[in-house]
Amino acid sequence: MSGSYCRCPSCNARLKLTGESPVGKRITCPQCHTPFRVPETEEVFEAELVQPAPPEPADGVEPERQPQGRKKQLRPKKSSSKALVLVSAAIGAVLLLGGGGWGIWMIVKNRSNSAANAKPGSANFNANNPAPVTGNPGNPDRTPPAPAFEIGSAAPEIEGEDIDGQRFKLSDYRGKVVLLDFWGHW
Amino acid sequence: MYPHERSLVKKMEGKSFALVGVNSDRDKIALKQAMHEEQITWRSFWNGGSTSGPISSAWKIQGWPTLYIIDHKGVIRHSFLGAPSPQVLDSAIEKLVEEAEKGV
Repeated sequence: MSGSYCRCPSCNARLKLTGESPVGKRITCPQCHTPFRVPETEEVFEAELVQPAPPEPADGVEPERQPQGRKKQLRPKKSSSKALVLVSAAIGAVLLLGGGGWGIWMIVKNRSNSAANAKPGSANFNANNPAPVTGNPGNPDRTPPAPAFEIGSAAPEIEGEDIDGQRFKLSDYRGKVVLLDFWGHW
Repeated sequence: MYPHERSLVKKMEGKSFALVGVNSDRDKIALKQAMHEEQITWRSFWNGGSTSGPISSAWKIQGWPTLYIIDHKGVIRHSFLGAPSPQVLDSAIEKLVEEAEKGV
């Protein structure tokens, strides 16, 4: 409550004064009945809230309930910046591991592909333990070289000698199904 | 592989089928000996005594064995790099022999 206040010099009671300019006037303490002259007074004024302070997010306290005259300071969010650093570090680590793993996989794949490429005249499949290519699901990564002649194309003629030196031709077998077998006994 | 080739030749005897080889061995005498021992009775072209011989070069052979199945009209119908399984090979040949004998 607004008004002028003083203290009794005898019993120290806090007294509210009425009237104007009470300083220096003779009064009697209502508590201890000691007469005295009014010393300096304490002036108390009422304050009316015009604009509430922004609410503090963590507290959830409504601005109208904030006590008068008290300033609310926004505390810096130290915990959120720390969390941000941790998340960024985690993302960086995942990207690094993923990139490294992809790189290693590409190197391994390229090595296995180059090993699978057969050079003309030098690749020797073991006749006793051949590696079937058609219908073999064992090596999905191996890309076998394509045959020279496409399925559906006319077989070129072969003219030559047999092992005994007798001449003959592939077209001699027209009218029959021919299994043409390129082989060696090495 | 020879056992299957031998059995194939025996099975298809009298049918519209022929097994024709192209051999790239270097030593003809040794090869003849081996053919006798392994009972390799089907005819083979001599590829000049080398894997770089004229026939394998013309056909761009990249590995041994390489097989082609040519139908009765002279058209290439199958090719295999490396020997396929006997079942796959026999099945392909039988279908084409059926075609040949039907006159398709």
